[in-house]
Amino acid sequence: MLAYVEKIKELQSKGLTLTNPNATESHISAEFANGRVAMILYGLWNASIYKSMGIEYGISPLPVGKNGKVSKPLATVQGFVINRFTNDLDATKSFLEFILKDENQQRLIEAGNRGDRKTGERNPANISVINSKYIEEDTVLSSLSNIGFNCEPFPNVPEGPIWYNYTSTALRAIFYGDTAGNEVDAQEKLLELAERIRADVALINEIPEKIDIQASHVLIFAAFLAGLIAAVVLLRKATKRNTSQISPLDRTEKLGTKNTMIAWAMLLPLLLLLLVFYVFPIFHNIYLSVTNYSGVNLRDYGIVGLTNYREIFTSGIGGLASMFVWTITFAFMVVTISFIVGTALAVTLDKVGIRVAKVYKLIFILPWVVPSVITLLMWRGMLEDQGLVNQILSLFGINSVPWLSHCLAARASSIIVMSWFSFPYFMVISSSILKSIPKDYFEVARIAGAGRLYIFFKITIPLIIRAIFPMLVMSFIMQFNQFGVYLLTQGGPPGSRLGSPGATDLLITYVFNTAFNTKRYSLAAAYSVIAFCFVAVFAVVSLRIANRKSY
Amino acid sequence: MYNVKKRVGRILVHFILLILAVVTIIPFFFVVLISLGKNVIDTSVFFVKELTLDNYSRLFTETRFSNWLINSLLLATVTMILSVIVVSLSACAFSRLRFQGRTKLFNFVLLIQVFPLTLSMVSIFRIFLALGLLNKIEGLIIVDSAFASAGLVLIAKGYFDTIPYSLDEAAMIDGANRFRILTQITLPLAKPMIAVVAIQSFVIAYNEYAIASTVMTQKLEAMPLAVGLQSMIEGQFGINWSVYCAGAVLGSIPMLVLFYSLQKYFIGGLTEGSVKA
Repeated sequence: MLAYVEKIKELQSKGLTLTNPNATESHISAEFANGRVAMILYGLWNASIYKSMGIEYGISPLPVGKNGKVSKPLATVQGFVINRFTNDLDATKSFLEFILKDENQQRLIEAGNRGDRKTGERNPANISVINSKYIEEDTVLSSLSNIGFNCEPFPNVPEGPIWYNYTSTALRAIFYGDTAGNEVDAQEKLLELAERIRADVALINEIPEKIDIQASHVLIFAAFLAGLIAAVVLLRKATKRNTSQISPLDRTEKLGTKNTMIAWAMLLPLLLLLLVFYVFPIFHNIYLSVTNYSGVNLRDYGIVGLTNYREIFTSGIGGLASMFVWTITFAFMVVTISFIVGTALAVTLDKVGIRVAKVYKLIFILPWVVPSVITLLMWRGMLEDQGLVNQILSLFGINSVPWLSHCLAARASSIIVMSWFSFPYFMVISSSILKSIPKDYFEVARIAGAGRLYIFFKITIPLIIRAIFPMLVMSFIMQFNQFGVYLLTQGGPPGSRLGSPGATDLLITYVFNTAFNTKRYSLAAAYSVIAFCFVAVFAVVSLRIANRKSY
Repeated sequence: MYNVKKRVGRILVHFILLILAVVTIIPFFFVVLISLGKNVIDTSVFFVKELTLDNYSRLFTETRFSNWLINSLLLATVTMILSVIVVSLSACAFSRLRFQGRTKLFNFVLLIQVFPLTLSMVSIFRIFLALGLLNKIEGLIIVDSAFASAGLVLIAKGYFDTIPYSLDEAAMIDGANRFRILTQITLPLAKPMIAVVAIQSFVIAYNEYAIASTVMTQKLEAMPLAVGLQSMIEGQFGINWSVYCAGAVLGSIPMLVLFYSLQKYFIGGLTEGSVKA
C-alpha cells in the first residue's frame, strides 16, 4: 500500500494526476469523457457517453506484479444470498437453482448490459457466459471478462463496509494534506488506517458480557425511579402557585368529568400517534443504548450496561463537546441570519412598489417550496472546487475558494446555505407582522431624526422578536435537529482522527453516520439519548422564558 | 441634495434585491439547465453543451418516475386528510374544553416535538417490522401524520382560540350536543386554518426524506418521490445527472403549482394565532 501511495505521490508531484480533494468517481469519468486525462481506473458505466464524445478507448489488462503474477483485485459480485432465517427454505433453494442456471445467467448478463448496446455495466462470472458469443465477439466485453476472471470476490461479511468508512478520508489526507493543509506522513497515516479498521472489526465482533438482570436489580431500579418521580411531584406541589381562581376572561367551561372524557376521546388519535412515534422511540433509544445492538448481532444482542456511554465519555468526549458547541453555533447563526435577512427583506419589500414586491416575493419564496433534497445536492455541486460558484468568482479574478474542503469555509458554507433555506419563512412571517405594527412608531422615530438602520435594528426587530419569540425558539430547535446538512457536506471535511466527527457534523448527522455507516446502532442510540437530554433541557428552559415574556 | 441621496439609496436597494434574487434563483436555474443538457455526468463542470429534451422521456422509460410521483401524491393526500382530522379534533379539545391536565398535556405536545424523528429511525424501523408495515405506504402515512400533526397543533389551537366561545354556548342552550357543535359550527368557521393544516401537512409528507428512506427500501416502485430520486444517485455508479435533474424539475412542479395557487393559505397559516398584537 505504501508503495502504491508513493508512486501516486510521485505522479502527483510531476503534475501528471488530477488534483481535486473532493473528486468523486463522476469527476474522474467526466474528465475522461472530456478528453482531459489519458487513463482512468474506472468501470464502463459511462461508456456510451465516452463514445458519444468521440473518445476512442480500450481496456488494458491487469498488470503483472513484480513476482510475475497477475494481481488479483477484489471484485464486488452481484451475488445471491440466502437469509438463514428464511421461512421457506425449499422455495429459496429452488429459486437459487433456477437463477444459477447457465442460460439464466446469460439472460441476466445480457439484460445488465442493455442487450445490443453492450455497455459493459455487468461483467459475467459464469464461465459459460464468458465463453458465449455475446461476450467473445465484443472486444471490450471480452477484455472485461478476462479481468473479472482474475478477481477475488469481495467477502460478504458484516465487517465488509468498514474499510469504506475510513479509507477515502485517510487517502485524502495523504494526498492533499490534513484539514489544516499540512503534509501528512504517508506511512503513519496508513498505519493509523489499518489500526482503525482492525479496531472497528474487533469492536463489531466483540461479545461483551451480557448482564443478567436479576430480580433484586430490577427492584432497586424501580424503587429509585419511583422515588425520583415522587420527589419531582412533591417539589412541584410545593412551588405551585394558586391557580384556582378563574379569570373573568375565561370563556371555556369549568372542569367536569363528562368534558374530561370527551376531551380525552378527541385527543386520543394525536396522543396515540405521539406516544408511538415520539415517546416510545425515546425509551427505546435509552434501552438500545445500554445494549450492544449493532449490525453484527441483529438477533442476539443483550444488555451490556454503560459501555457505550463509557466509550463516548472517554474517547469521544472531545468530539462530542466540539460537535455540541458547533451545533449550537450553527443553529444560532442560521436562525439569526435568516431572521435578520428575512425581516430586512420584509421591510424593504414593504417600501418598494406593490407589483415589484410581488415578483420579488415569488422569487424569494422558492427555497422554501422546492423539496430541499434536490436543492441541497445542487448546492453541493455548485460549491465544489470547480463548481459554479468558483467559476463565477474566477470571472472576477478571485481564486477558487475551497468551500467544502476547508474546515472553516465548510462551516461557513453550511451556515449560509441553510440560512438560504430558512430565510423565506421569516420573510413571510415578518411581513405579516409588520402589517400589524402601527405606523406611528416609525413616524415618531423618523421625526425624531433616527436613521433607517437605527429604526430597523432598535425598533422593528425587537418588536417582531417579541411577537414571534416562540417561533424563533422552535426554529432554533429545528436547526439544531437539522438533517439536510448531511446531504450538503456529508459531515464536512473529516476530522483529524479517523472516525471522529467531521467539521460540519451536527449531532444528528454524526448519530446517523454512526448508526448507518458503521452499523453500531447502540452507540448511535447512546448519542441520541445525550442529544435528547440537551435539547429537552433547552426546550424546557426556553418555554419558561417564552411564557414569562408574553405576560 | 436629499433627492439625490434618496435616488442613490433606492438604486442601491434595488441592486441588492436583484443580487439576492439572483442568488436565490441560481440553484433552480442550474437544475433546469442540467435537466436539459445532454449526458451530464458531473455537476461541477459546466458540462451542458447541447440542449435536449431527451432526459424527460428517458425519465419515464428508464426509471420508475411515474410510480414515485403517484406514490408521493397519494402519500401526501392521505397524510393531509389524516392530519386534518387529528389536528382539528385535538385543537378543538385544547381550545374549547377545560379538562383535567389541559395545560400539562398541551405543554407535553409542544415539548415532545423537540425530539428529532431522525434519531428515532431505528425505533420506527423496529416498530414497523413488528407491525408488518415495512415497505408499505400505510406505515409512512402514519408516521408523516404524526410528524405533521405534532407541529401543527400549536397554530391550530391558536386559531381555534379566536373563534368566540359564545357561539358554542348559544348552540348548547339550543340543545345541540358537542359533536354537532364541532361539525356544524366550529369547523366551518375554522376553514382557513383547516386549509393551512391541509397544505402544510401535504408539503411535509411530500418533502419528507429521512424517514421515508429508512422505511421504504425494498421495491423501487413503492418509493415516494424523494427516496426514488435519491436512489438514482446513491446506488449504482455512473450517475446521469441530467435525468436526475429532469426528475427533480418534474417532481417540484406539484409543489410549485400548489404553492402559487394557494399562496394565501400558506402564508396565512404562519401568523394565525401567533401574533400578539
